[in-house]
Amino acid sequence: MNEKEEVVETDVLIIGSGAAGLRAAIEASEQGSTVTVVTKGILHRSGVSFLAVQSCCAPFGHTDPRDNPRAYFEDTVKGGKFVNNEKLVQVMTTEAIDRIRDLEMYGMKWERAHGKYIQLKYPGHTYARSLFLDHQTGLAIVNTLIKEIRKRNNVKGVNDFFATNLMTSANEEVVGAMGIDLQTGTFKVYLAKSTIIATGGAMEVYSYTSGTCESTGDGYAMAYRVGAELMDMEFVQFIPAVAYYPKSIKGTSGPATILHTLKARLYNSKRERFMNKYSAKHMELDTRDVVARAIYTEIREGRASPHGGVWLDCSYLPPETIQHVVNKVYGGWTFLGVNMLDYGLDIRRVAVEVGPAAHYFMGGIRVNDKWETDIPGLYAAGEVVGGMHGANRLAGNALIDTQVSAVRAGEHAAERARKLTRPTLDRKQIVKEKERVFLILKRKGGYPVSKAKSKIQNLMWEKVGIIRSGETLKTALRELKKIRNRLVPRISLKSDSKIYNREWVEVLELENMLDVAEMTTKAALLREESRGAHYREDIASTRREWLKNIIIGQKHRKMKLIIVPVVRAQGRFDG
Amino acid sequence: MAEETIIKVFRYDPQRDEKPRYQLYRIPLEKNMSVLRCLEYIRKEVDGGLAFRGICKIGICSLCLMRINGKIQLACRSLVNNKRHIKIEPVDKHRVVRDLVVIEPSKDH
Repeated sequence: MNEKEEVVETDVLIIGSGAAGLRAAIEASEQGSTVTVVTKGILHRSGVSFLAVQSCCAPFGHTDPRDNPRAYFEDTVKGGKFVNNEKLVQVMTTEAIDRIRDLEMYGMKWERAHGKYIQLKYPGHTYARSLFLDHQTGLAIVNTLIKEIRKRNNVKGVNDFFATNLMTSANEEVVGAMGIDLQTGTFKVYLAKSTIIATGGAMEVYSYTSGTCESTGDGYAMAYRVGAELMDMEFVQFIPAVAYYPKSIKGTSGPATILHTLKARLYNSKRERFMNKYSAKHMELDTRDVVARAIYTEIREGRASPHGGVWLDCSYLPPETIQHVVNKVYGGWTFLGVNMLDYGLDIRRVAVEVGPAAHYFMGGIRVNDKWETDIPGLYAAGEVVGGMHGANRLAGNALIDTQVSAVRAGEHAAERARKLTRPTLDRKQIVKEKERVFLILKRKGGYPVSKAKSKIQNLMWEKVGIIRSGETLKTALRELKKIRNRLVPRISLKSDSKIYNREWVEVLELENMLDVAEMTTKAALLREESRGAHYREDIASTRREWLKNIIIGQKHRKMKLIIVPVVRAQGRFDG
Repeated sequence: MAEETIIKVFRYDPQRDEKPRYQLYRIPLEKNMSVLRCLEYIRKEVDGGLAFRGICKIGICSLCLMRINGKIQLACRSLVNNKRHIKIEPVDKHRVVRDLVVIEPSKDH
């Protein structure tokens, strides 16, 4: 405990190593900075970017020559229900093309035909503008980025480092981060002139997610604790269907893709094709939010399948038709990594249990058009940023956002680093943080962290999930407070070993998740309307007076929410 | 189908253990259960101290590469089926950080 910790100096520190973190590293390196990327997992296999199937938007107009940045801007803002930070959208829609070309320069081979990109049209986009590569666009992007990073001598990548908190200077600038080297269990400090948070979303606060267990909202919580502002935390995107069973593939997307590829039908436990009641015209093919709410309602009202979902069934089609589509679309029985036959999912004969899942956080850290926060020295990139996508994100806008935001953040972080001399360490902060982190190992309460985590996830799923109301949100706030005050202090670990102690990390993640859960719940309660992904059954209409954003910050150690006007771009269209 | 399977897991915490040992766990079988899911079950319900990697469940991250009954394979792609005994060891015993976790190449200069 009293041993002196290792201090590593770097110009730019990047926390998180998904598509945003890796791209930011390249940019800062390009500008001459020494860069360190730390990740709590493994460099290019961390977070959720590598799981992104498709696609990545840019208004090249190759497939449909009518496309242009302006149309892309309008679609994104319309999809976001007009509460996006339009300055960010303007940057994304004008710089997307360059970022795609960068990736190509680093070696990415986008799908092409006759020398031009093949672009697909996704819902919400007026024109075909999604580029892709196989069914593994995200994986191809991170693989490309890591290859480029390995060529650069001024970039260092560090696996298995869990950043527990940011560090600030006497004049309240961020000067790096502190945390645990998971391989040795030692405390380590990264002293940096600029710090970029690229830790992604917090889908793990929900029982069902389409991502990985790493999305625990660490970046939101760390930024919040040093006084940075967050915004739009009430807007969480849910996708209608992921696999619910077998448990081994819970949360995966492959089996649920038959909703579109085979126009599979949804049934509840009474074998009713329930979409009739919710959307007689479009049925299962209505927009994501409509289908997600319909499925959730069936489950909530007691018509769930044995493992808590609904049945997705394409057996109305002749087996040979199914086999034909399977061969053509998936090239065999492995759907996005899931071997259907291994898991007993021969869809010619059986239906699949599916249900909705948390997919993406539109909300996040508030930034300006340099992707700089209101705390000097702190930048953010990728999903952890709020404002780009407003109340709902269009398909294909997440991956391109990682690239555009990362370049801006990387460039300005490097620029700041060039101007600064070495920041000084505040010993007191380090001692205090070390104490907080290491005391967890000594706790003796007997309550397992996995149980506490499930409690938060179930609560958020039921009360702050797909369908919310003033009542459920107030209950959630009360329960979250109880968990924080009564349950968390009783958590103790199975082992007090410091070496790769997953439970130790989970306790720290849990505290981050609680901060995020509180932000999302409070913002959802304050926003007395329904808009985009935020749906309140007590106020189902969208209200003009709520063309506003909710900002969350910390004042005198208390969470404060304020309502502010939307940032409009100059010369914007009037939607 | 057997109702449970017995999993023998390589355990080693260099801070606590003089040498590696094996620990037995009885796992209630689920239909079409993967080895990774067994490990998740152990960590969640039985022994929160068990260390292993693997986050995607679908063979992409490749971090759950282990030696399963002597054969190197991904735990997420390896199914229990009717096997009554499964032995799980790290992919490389010389690179062990703890239990089934091995050092992955990072990017240092």
